[in-house]
Amino acid sequence: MDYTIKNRINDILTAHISFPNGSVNKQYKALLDLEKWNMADITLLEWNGLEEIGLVYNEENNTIEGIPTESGDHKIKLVFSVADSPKQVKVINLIINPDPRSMWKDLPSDVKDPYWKQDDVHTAGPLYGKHAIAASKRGRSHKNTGAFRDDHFELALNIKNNWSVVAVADGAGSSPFSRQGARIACEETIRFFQQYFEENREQELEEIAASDREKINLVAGQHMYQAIKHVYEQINAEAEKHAAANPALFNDKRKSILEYYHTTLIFVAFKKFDFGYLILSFGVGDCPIVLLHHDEAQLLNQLDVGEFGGGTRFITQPEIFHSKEIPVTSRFKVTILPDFSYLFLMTDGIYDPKFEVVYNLQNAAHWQQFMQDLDGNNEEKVKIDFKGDCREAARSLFDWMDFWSPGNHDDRTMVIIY
Amino acid sequence: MRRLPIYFLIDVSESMVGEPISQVEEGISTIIQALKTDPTAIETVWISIIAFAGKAKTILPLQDIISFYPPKYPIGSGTSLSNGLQHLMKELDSNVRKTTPTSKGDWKPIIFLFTDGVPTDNTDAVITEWKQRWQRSVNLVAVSFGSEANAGVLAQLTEHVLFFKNANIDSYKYFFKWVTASITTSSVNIESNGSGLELEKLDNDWLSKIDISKSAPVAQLVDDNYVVLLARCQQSSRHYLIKYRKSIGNNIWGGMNLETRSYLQVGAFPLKDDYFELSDAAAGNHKINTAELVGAPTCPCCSNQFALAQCSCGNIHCIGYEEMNTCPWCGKTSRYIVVEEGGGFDVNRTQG
Repeated sequence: MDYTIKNRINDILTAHISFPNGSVNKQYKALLDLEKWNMADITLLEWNGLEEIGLVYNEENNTIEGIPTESGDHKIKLVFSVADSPKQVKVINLIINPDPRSMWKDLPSDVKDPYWKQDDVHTAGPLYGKHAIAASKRGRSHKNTGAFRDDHFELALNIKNNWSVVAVADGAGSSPFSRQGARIACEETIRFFQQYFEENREQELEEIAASDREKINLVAGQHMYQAIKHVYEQINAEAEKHAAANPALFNDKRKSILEYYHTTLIFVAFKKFDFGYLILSFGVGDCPIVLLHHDEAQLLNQLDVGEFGGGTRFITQPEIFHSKEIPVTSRFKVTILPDFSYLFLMTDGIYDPKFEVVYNLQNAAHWQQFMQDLDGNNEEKVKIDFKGDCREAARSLFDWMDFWSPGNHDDRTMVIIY
Repeated sequence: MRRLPIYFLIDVSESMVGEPISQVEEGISTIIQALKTDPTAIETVWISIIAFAGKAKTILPLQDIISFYPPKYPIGSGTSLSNGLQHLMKELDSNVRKTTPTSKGDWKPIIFLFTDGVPTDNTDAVITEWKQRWQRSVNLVAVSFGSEANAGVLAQLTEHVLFFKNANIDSYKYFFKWVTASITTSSVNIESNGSGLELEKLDNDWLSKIDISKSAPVAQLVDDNYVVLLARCQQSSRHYLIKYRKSIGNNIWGGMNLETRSYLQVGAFPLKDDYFELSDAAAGNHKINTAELVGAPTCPCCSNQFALAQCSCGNIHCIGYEEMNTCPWCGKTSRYIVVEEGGGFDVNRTQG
């Protein structure tokens, strides 16, 4: 063969041409532009390998089209010739993507595990003049491997004289018993406050609430500090007990036993007075507490987000209590206001897909959009009716949490006071 | 959504021409295919590919694996690790997102550096910059394809330095399976441990961890593992490469065990125009004697029998059986002679 034809064939065989990627079960159409590929001189003879994946060559429109049936990197073959040369075969990649949604498994969690907890829960209850709804769901990534839900929440509504307490925690994925850490964190927050009210210690707060802002910040901080110290001690006690009974489970020498229970924690304790609401709040980790009143959104805690993903902090880290960088006092907040529309506590399973960044948590326009989302402006058309029965609203919140968001497959937990 | 950026920084110097580069191309495609079977990876992993020889170029900008289409892998002259790393840092600077109040940060990026030779330039300055700016913010896995000799340079970049013995196609398959498994595990575990890098266990001779404490940095300007010659077809004027691989033989002579070095022919490969795009213009003048080269291929562009002839201008081209030939480099027509057995002549070799 003449070397010029040989070189021309070689050029065509090695030329880089690309077809757009398709997706399984989705209409596909790709135009063959031989001129653009600089191959106008070829005699196109036939295509091989299209039918196996559900596609055909449409000679009239000069397209490859159809509904792909097989995912994968398919090697389709273009049979051509140049200036009456013998048949040549050029192999071209045609990539058909699978449907990512169809790949997730839903494996049950082990109910015999001593630290088992329900995969999905929701609850509701009335408050003095308001309502509380809450739901928590095991994330896709946990379903996929049969792992447990690491999130947790506890509500104690109307404990005493219209005081209520809400706690939400998110166990760290890398810690084997974080689901238990999260549970203890929430339960012990509630237990601490129950004891607190039993001892009438809230009276000290109530007496100064209306008058002295500076003093109430100081006293409320002291009280909350005792709450988180109690939580820390209780998780630590459980860790020591469990490690003593099952030393083989704690075999990672790089980890202290407490690290097996790493969890974030946010809580609010609040009461309605004649002058309005008194809200005590605390947070460690990347779960936000947000107060919404009319068009204003106020973040009630400082989020611990690292430079890159995963850089959060936990209540189970002793350094939280004596950090110079983030003094523990900066984690406590007292808010007094006449009224509010909504109070949200959520884990990053909701925060990440719906708000992405801290900035959006304080952005009124973003909240407007989010409230519309809760009002049914979403792909699944799930609406939460805040005006109807609160148990129904909790059920809707539970359903709403099934929204699909690529890359966001963590546990989802949210409490709304409204 | 948090992305897990995976960068491949791939050496495409001349020594990669032929099988190695097509195995890498195939390998990256199989990685992507395998990742698509993992639901976490498919939603998290973003891929970018940077090729470097004398110069560096992004051949696949950072993108999710659903959009991935295999890029065209070029070949160039030289192995400028400095230019490769500089380019990588530029890409990291402009593409990797850090957490700020208004943007969601990425997971810690993972970088796979594949290089089959020793750097042909001085890397001190770029390594200092790498350490200062990126070493702690990314996970870098450096894989030496050619020899363990350049581990010293790689060890300055990262503690994860591996040696890949690219003996055959099975070893490539094993290697890319290992990379895939490491990415998949990392994409699953990243949400839990934050740092992200979970390298799979090495259970094969083809891939091993290099004891970096034993290797010293080397200063070398030519990759000694291969001899690659740049040539031009007399008939079509096109460029091609002739590649030889190092072979060490043992000779017992007079009771002494002598090691002899020779280079065995791998093949001749036609080049595309992008060769010069990635080649280092400042490449030095390095020579090899043809007596060390075993075997001579035919021209990959035309039917000429000998791909290795040298004109008095110093350049290499192909010739047929004709006595008179015209050099496609300088245009001079002259009489060519065959070098007698045992003799040899010095030819210019490339760096890579």
